Amino acid sequence: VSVLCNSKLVARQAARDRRVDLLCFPNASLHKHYFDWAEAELASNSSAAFEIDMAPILGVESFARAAVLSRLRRDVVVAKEYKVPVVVSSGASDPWFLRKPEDYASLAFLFGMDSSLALESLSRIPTSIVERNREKLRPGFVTTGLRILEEKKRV
Amino acid sequence: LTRHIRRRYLALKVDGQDQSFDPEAVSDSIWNSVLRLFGEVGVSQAGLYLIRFDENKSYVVLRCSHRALPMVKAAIASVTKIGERPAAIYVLRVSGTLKTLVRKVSDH
Repeated sequence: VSVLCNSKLVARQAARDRRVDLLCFPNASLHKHYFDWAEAELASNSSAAFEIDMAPILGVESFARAAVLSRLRRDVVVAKEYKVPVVVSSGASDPWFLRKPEDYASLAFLFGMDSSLALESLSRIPTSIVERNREKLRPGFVTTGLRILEEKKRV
Repeated sequence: LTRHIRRRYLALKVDGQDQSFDPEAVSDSIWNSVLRLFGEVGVSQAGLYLIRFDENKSYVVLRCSHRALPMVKAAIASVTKIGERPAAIYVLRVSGTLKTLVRKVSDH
């Protein structure tokens, strides 16, 4: 479940909700950006991940790109501090904006993510989200960490 | 004594709507990308040099300074146009010598 956090109310509610897997923040100005330390604290408690969309980095230039990079650099620092998992996604609406995972990891260098962390954000963390959701769909699932293994037959 | 300059060789694949590319246009797009992202100081540190260009297969071999490798890789990934046409450049392999790079790419 991914939530587009385009208002503070939506962002806070999504970060509290344990059903939410991804918090997606649209490419808004710095004043209308809701991923701050309070949001990160809520997200780290509910195990929601912060999604970084790479399309704006490729799609814009000059001051607009500088603003996007500046915002992402700050977001990555906040996410690291509160141990919020980060997911890097292409966000591409054009096939020419698609890159290899290694190339996305190289682009992540622009906003202060090291290569190993970027590759984790591209592969291991999204895989763990999918696995967690598959686990929820299995029969016998009650809640995170609690599953019915065997039911005793009534005589 | 001046220290030996360590270099890195990158094998790149150029992909675009039209499969034929002018080597100068490819080289310019990479230079411009480094210039836009890291400025004139960044370009001066990168030490970019186009070594080979295979026009038929759109493979490029580029040389850069080993210290500037993360910068150059980021700049290459951010190329979205060559000339006026939409295109993408992918890094296939990176190596410390040209000989090893050729071996790695041919194994790949």
